[in-house]
Amino acid sequence: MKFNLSKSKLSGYLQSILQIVPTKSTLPILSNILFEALDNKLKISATDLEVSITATFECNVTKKGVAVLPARILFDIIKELPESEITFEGTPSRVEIKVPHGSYKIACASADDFPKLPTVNIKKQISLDRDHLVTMIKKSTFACSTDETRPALNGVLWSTSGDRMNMVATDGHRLAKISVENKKLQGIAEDIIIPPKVLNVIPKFAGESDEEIGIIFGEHNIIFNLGDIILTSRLIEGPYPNYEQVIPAESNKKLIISKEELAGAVRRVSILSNSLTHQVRFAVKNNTLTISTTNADVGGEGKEAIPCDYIGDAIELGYNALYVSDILTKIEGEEVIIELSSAVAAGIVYSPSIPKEEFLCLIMPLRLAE
Amino acid sequence: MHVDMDAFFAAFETRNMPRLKGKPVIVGGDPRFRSVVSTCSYEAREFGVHSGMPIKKAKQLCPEAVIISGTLRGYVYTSALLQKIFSNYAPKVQPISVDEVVMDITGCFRIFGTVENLVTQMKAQIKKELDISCSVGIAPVRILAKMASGENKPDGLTIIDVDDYKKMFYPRPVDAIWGIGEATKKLLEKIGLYTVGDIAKKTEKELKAYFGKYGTFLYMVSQGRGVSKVHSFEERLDEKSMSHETTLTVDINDIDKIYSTLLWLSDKVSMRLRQGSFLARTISVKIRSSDFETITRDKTVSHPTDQCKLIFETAKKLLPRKYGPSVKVRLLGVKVSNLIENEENRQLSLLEDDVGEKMSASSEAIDSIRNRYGSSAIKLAGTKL
Repeated sequence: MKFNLSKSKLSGYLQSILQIVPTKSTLPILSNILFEALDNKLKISATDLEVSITATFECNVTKKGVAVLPARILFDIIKELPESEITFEGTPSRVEIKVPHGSYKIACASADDFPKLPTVNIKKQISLDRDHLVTMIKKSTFACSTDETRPALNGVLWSTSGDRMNMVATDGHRLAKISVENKKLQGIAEDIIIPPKVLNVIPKFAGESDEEIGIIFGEHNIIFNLGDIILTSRLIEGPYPNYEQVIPAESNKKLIISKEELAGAVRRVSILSNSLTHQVRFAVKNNTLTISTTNADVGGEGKEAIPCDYIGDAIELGYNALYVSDILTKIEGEEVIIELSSAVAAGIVYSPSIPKEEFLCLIMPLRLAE
Repeated sequence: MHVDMDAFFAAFETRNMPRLKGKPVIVGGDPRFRSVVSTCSYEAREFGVHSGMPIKKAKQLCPEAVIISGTLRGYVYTSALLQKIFSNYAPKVQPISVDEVVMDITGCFRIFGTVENLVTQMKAQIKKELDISCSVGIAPVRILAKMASGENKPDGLTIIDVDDYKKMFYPRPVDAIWGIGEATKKLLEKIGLYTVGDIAKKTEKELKAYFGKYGTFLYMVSQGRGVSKVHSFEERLDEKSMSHETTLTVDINDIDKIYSTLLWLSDKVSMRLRQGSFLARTISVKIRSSDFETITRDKTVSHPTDQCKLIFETAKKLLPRKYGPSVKVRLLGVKVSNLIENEENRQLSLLEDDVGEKMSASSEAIDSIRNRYGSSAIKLAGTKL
């Protein structure tokens, strides 16, 4: 195997690839990158068995071949090099990286041990505006669960109906639902559950906002075609819980408040909250929201009152401060609306500037000690 | 009425060896090893020796003390004799430990004329038959009786009502309340509560906000009201993690057997969580291979749990793949940490209706069967491999 390319080109691709390489893996081979030198093309791939990434780009290949190199070490070396032309030369067992003032040699892992990347039976193929997809991803994946008991909740539900598509994520404590209009979706009616890992990678790849992203739906996989980079992910098997029934149809209390003030107060008060539960108490009464917490471990108390517009009876409820903060970062505009019904029911959080049919978050309270 | 035998172990030894009378006596472990004072006679206490002190230090404070290793069988036997005497004086006698009982004398003291008469007669009988003295506290509720019996030691009798209690205890430091130790005292002081009276000024709600269920205990005691037994706050603070591990009888590489063992360990750990009404946030596994390489891996889950299934599934995923097929396993362990109290601060769930509730209901059923018929009465099918 022998090829050469510029430092900047390689390190750019390596950076993308590295996002898929697992940092802690139960299978050591996965911490490597597969290099395949083809006819004037270089193909580099990584996988964590759930998500795979392949970058294919033009490159001056003098001798075809394959090599499996340790991702982290390789990236660290390339990152530190000055801008120059780099030559890779070697056998499947050892590769020499030649740079202007020296060389680095790295032992390779066996290419036979590297997992075969999935082959996909194409069921459907569409293309979507990059912007649309990225917005949906950014506003939904944060709410996914990471627990093992309900695998469906470990992914984002992507459903389409008519010319709308929805992404929904929930871990049972909070939920995010975003819905956008897209005429190209006609005919796709199947719901799929996608692991957030692959989705979270997509916004990181630079691209023009009017560019389109090709999406191929397979039986058990989904493929995102970003030009020179192909992302493949396993789909999670459903069924996804019926999320629509947990979105409260009506609520009798409505709070409108400055997003910045609320976010700031929650951040500050939560410093003194219990480090495991992050519980803060919300008390709303007479157009004032009081956020407070107590902590026996540090003997601390924190309290802030913020003016708000409030319709409804006075109410006190507990929240995990982290969940509140997470949701507030997703809400657009200067104000936020929170609809409530009781201290043990879900609150609906949305922006006054975007109808809640298009984007809403739900947050469940913590039961307060009475 | 609370009865506390005065320096019970030491008194027992002195009675059996009359030459020790009037001498400082310490009952504890072997002084050559690291051991602590179980109890000591009042003569030794004058030198500053107290229960729980390392024997080595006790010896420095009181070099002439006689150190006895103690004969547990003798104490238990004498304790049984004491129970017999107590039962002559009240219908309800509840032993708290080998040297303490609580007796309900409501009404029955009239047989003896007055409360004082009852106590005098009982003390005389104990002195005559066993040659041991005791201190007695009498109050409307048991925790106050317990605190009162400590007032006039040895051979004392203290009768208080709630007003007396307030007068006596309100000016004292918070650790005058039975069950408050160093750690809780420090916590209380942090929020500006130095005396029992300071605690009494707080509302139940305020105390609960800081201490959860223990807040109710503090509130009730400070008001001189009865409380059911609660775990002390310190006990709960000390519960930082729970773990079970097992060294396998033979090293195994059968993945099903490894999973079966993990399930068994997860079951044990989850049962302990439920017994203590804790939920765990962090789950860890420990694996030692046949060549003694030991690794631990952990994961923090977003839903704190006391359910075996979740603990097991998480532990299973944490297990590196090389174990089993290519590397034999010698030891397996499951640990839970970052514990929070189940009753308090419970995160409500949007979707709890189905899986979660069924899971807790079945765990509850398993627990009640085990409580009644023993822990091996019902097993998870997967642990049978």
